Amino acid sequence: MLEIRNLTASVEGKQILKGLNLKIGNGEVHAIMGPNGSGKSTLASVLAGREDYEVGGEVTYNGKNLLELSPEERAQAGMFLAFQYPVEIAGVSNATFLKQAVNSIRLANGKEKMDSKDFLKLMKEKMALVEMDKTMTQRSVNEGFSGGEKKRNEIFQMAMLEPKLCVLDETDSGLDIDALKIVSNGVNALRNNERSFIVITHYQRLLDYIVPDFVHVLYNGRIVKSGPKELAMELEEKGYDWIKEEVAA
Amino acid sequence: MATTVENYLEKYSANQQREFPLLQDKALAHFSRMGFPTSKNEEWKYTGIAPIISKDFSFSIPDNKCSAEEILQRVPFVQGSVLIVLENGKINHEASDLSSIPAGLVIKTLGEAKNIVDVKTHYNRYADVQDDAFSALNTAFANDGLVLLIDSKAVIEKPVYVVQVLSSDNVAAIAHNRILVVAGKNSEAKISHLAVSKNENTETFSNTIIEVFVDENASVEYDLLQDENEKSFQICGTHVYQSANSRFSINTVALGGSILKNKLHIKLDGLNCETHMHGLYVAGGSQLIDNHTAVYHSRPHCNSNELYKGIIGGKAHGVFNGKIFVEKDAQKTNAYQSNKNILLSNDAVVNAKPQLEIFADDVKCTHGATTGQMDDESLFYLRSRGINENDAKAMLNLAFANDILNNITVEDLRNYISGLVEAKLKAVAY
Repeated sequence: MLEIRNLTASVEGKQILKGLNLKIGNGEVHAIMGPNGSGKSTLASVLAGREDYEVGGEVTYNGKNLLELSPEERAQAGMFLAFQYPVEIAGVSNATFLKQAVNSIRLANGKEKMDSKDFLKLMKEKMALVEMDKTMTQRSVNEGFSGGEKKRNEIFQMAMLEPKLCVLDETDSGLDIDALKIVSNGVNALRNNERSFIVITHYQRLLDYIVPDFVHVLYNGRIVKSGPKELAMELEEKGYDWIKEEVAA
Repeated sequence: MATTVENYLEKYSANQQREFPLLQDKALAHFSRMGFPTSKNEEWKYTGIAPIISKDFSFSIPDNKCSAEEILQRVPFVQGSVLIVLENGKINHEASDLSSIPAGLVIKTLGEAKNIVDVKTHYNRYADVQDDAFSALNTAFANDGLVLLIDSKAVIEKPVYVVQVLSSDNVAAIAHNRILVVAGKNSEAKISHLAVSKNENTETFSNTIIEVFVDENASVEYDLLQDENEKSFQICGTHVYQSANSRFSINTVALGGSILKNKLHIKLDGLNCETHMHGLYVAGGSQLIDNHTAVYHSRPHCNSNELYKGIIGGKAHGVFNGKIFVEKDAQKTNAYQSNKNILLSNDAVVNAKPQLEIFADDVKCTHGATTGQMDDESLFYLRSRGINENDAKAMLNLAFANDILNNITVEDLRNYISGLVEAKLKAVAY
């Protein structure tokens, strides 16, 4: 699905990713943990195609050179980023926005546009997945949404767009325990043998609900340790200092 | 070669048919005294009119060239409504649809209506003929405009459509459009004015004056769409007078035209008036769109609310100048004004100037102007969901514009304009 080789990224002359390597197979869930400032969100942004970075290295996504694709081409090829801070867009309704997104992706993949009836049906079905109120589809994208509603809206969009590779950037931040459960249930419902996930989080708590196949520790712009899901527990218990010491040694 | 002012004076002498000879002669004298404005005039600082005044426009275009079918093809949604086609400044009765005029609404030409008391009282009373050369020219030359009288207590529920069209085929031509609206006490009406061209390639100049008198407790919505061809010049003065407890709302959408200059003056001369001014201008290429507005709070307890938005691409130029005057007696005034612009290119320019002049001490007034680029975060968010860059930009710009369009309560018109704006946004953005 995805292979990242020696990925570097800098912004305004400051290098944040310093040669990151990661390989993700179909249907796998990889958690990326790490202390603040280690480069977790930069990795998410670079994968989604944010243009603020100078990027080096190679990223191959289903045989394509991902770094050459525009953000929309990545989405059309099945990438999805759930934003840490979803953007509020006044004057564009959730429904209008999603219809355009669904149809852009369909057209790019040689499918016909979805008609309004099928689209409404699909929305209804996917909204149930994250227990979203139907009035939210008529509201402007994320405008006036609470933190929890915004994160739910991200997972709702993910469900609508049916991506192949989902990158969740600190989806747990700002969620209370109930919202965390709803969001995690939504994600788990979307897990299958084909779809892969990169779950970026600062805390182990999210991984109680979205159980990963692999856990990686990102520190100082590189993946410095990888292991099974138990690694997350260890990090929760011992913090990150022992990792830092290991790296320094 | 005659100077252009003399050229206009000659055209005036050549046509002796006058419905209001005294007013017209006097207006011509004002024009002759003032001449055309230059950039030294603060009102015209950014709006060079040399291309307009250097042109020898034809004043005599054959009448009634537009058919009803042609009009309906352009604005299909007006079918079945009261429709007045104002062609080259005169009502084209054949293309108009006056078959179902509701009770309480009177539609006449200026000539037909000149002896009606309301017309004698209000015609040319609000236009700034002494101060503005184009207002003076309009009054001098307008002979056959439109009069809309709404009787006291009449509630005209459906919109009254006025389609203003310049129909010259291949000769550069001028039209002086004149509209007078008198809304009687306790009346309600919605007037939707659409300015279009018959021919997309002819240079035309429409010089328009709209006067609206809103009597006590009356309510008027005036929607003005300006979408003449891209070679056209449009100068439009709207002069509104509000009496006590009246409500007036105007939505101006300026899209098509080479040079387009609007002047909107509203006088609040009674207690408890309410005024809403919304404007949208979308300019691309080398277009110039200039909106000058002024609201005069003369009496206490009135509210005015103004929001103008501009989207400027290419090498186009937007101008906004908004004045709020609060006179000494106008205590407890609430006046809000805001102007927001998005520049789509490095060569696009906006000059925005809000002005407040307050002589009362117990008032609430705010004003502000912003000019910026499209929000990159929003654009990235839409693109990250698979929406192509150009479509994403159009969505964001349309959302910005909808803030204005949503104030148009005539749904058919709003949908029509929204379609035009969407198409124009696609044309100006790239």
